This record gives sequence, C-alpha cells and structure tokens, in this order.
Amino acid sequence: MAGSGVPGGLNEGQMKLMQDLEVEVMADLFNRMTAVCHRKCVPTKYRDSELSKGESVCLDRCVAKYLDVHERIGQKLTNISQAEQEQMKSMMAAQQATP
Amino acid sequence: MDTQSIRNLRDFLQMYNRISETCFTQCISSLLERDVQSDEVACVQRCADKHINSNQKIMQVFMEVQPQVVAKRMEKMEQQMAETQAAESAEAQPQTAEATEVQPQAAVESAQAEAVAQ
Repeated sequence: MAGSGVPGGLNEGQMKLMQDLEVEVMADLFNRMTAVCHRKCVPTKYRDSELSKGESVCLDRCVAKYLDVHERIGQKLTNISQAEQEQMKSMMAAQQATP
Repeated sequence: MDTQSIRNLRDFLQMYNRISETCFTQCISSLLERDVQSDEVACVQRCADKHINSNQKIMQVFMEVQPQVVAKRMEKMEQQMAETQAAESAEAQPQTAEATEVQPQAAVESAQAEAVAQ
C-alpha cells in the first residue's frame, strides 16, 4: 500500500491495525484490573449477592489507584524508550560522522 | 509500519500491562485512600525499574544461548539423517543364502557409509 514506508504518516490499513491493537490492549488492562481489584476487595465468603458499602468503596479506590499506577509506569516506559532512541540516534550519527 | 513492528509494539504493550498488574498487586498495600501514597509511589518506581532491567537481562542471555541450542538441534538432525541413509543403503545390498557372510559385510559397509557421512 502506498505510504507504508512514510514515517509518522499512517494509511488506512495501518490505522485500523493500530486501533485494533489499542482495543486489545485496553481489554487486557480492564481484565487484569478487574481480577486484581476483585481479589483485593471482595472476600470469598459470599454471604450476600449485593455489594456492601465497604466493598464498593474499596473497588472505587482500587480502580482509581490502578489507573494511577498504570499511568506512572507508562510515563516511565516512555521516558526509557525515548532515552534509548536518542542513544541509538547519537550512536548512528557518530558512526556516520567517522570517515 | 510492517508486521514485525506491530508485533514488537504488541509485545511492548502486553509487557506494560503485566508490569502494571504485578507492581500494583505487590506495592499497593492499603485501599484506605483514593490517592496513591508516597511510599507506594516509591515501591512502584522500584518495581517497574526492576522488571525492565530483568527483562533486558533475560533478552540478552536468551540471544546468547538460543543460537547454541538451535545449532545443537541441527547437528543432531543431520546425524540422524546420515544414520537413516546408511541403514537404507545397507538394506539395498543384494541378499545371499549365506546370512552369516552377508551380515558382517553389511555391518562393515554401513560403518564405512557413516564414516564417510561424518
């Protein structure tokens, strides 16, 4: 497809792939978060089918904290991968500079 | 962006999710507040760093060891092929009524074929 070699520019097919990937990753995040928060907040006694106030509050805080942690780790990973890319660029530039 | 890049991106994002889950489970001790506490923040930073470093180390060792494993496997396969060929060529020899004479002959010939193959 035309434009597939252009960096930064995405054609329709690639856009679709990226969107699919994003949906898949979001779903994975949601599933993991659900499993973790359920494990932390909902005891397995099962005396009642309704959520108690404590459990509701716990789940609310759990989700908020999970997304906070997720964002922090995302920032860290972005910084690291950016630093690595800069390093690669400077290395390649240095290689090209030497005759 | 080709399939390899997309695969890399998918691996990266899955690793991201896995690190989030693990570090949250290990580091977030109390759910009494909606905000993440400072000691939890520090724990998460260390946890993420450790996971990233161990990931890099694992990749490094894997790239070292994997080619050796593949080479060994190829060697074994070639050896087995040579043995099968030698056995087949020994069977194809004309059989005479005197079995005792043929057997040592076949053994010698298959041994020679093996030596040639190696």
